[in-house]
Amino acid sequence: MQTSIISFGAPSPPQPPNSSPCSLKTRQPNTLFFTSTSNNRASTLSTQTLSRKLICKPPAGKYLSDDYLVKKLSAKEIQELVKGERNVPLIIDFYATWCGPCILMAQELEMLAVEYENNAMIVKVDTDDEYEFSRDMQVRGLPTLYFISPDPKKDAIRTEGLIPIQMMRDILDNEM
Amino acid sequence: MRALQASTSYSAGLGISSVAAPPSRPRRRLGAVAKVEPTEKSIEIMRKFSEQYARKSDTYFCVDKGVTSVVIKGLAEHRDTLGAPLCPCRHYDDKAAEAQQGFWNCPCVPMRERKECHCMLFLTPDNDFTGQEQAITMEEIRETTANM
Repeated sequence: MQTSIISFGAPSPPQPPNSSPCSLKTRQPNTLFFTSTSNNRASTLSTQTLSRKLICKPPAGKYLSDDYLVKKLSAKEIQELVKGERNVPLIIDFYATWCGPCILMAQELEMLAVEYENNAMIVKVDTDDEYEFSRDMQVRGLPTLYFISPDPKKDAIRTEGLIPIQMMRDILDNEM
Repeated sequence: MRALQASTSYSAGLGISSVAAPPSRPRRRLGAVAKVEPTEKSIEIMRKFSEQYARKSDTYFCVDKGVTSVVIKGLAEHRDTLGAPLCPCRHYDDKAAEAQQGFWNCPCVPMRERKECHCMLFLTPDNDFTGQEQAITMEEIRETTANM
């Protein structure tokens, strides 16, 4: 399996503001649409039609984690991230829908995101969606990873092809 | 620029045929993106080709058939849109030109010359990810790509 690692200088960036939307859900039996069977769970999700005073605030569901930790961003969002200020390394994963090794890489990056939590920022870019940006970043083989240090003096590192998770850990721990 | 070369890369031998503006993409993406699925016919053709070429080249499919399935679908999709099974594991400046030029049409030149398939479709027996099989069914392809 072919892998190449290249590093080069790049400016450093910021941390996006944390925003976790709280969704209010109200559950009440809706006898209009459900017959009472043991399997039915009656539920309505909308509070829009209800005009009643809530005695206590319903659970916000803020302890539920997202399905995927590695988010797909647009070229503009990535550029803002890179240009802004950051104090953690940034990993950008360039992938394509029908690239097989990209699937394996995505799984590894999810594991890495769990391990590093807030100590690294991991995002991904669909090269079919962001054609021009991928071309400008000289992406060729997929998957391609860019490791960008928060220190503007350090070179960014680029890898091409599927790399072991340990190599990613080594780069994050030693090179960033 | 600090370069850490882990192994040979293709870029040295690759002649990029064109640096013209990227081609107008055949599909428009509006709001929520619906993934373009290749046709059944193309998937079947690329499935048969993959089995045949694996036998011919003494290579094997990945132990994770999901990888094999995704690549076969990628080849099928390029066959539908470009007329040739361009390697789905690369980014191109001009896909149409590359499909015509042929270097990255599956089986690509690195595969034909050195049995190097970075898509992990055709794996040599010494590879860590190599499975035991040189066959894959349509059912396996459907199942492993169902939730994509």
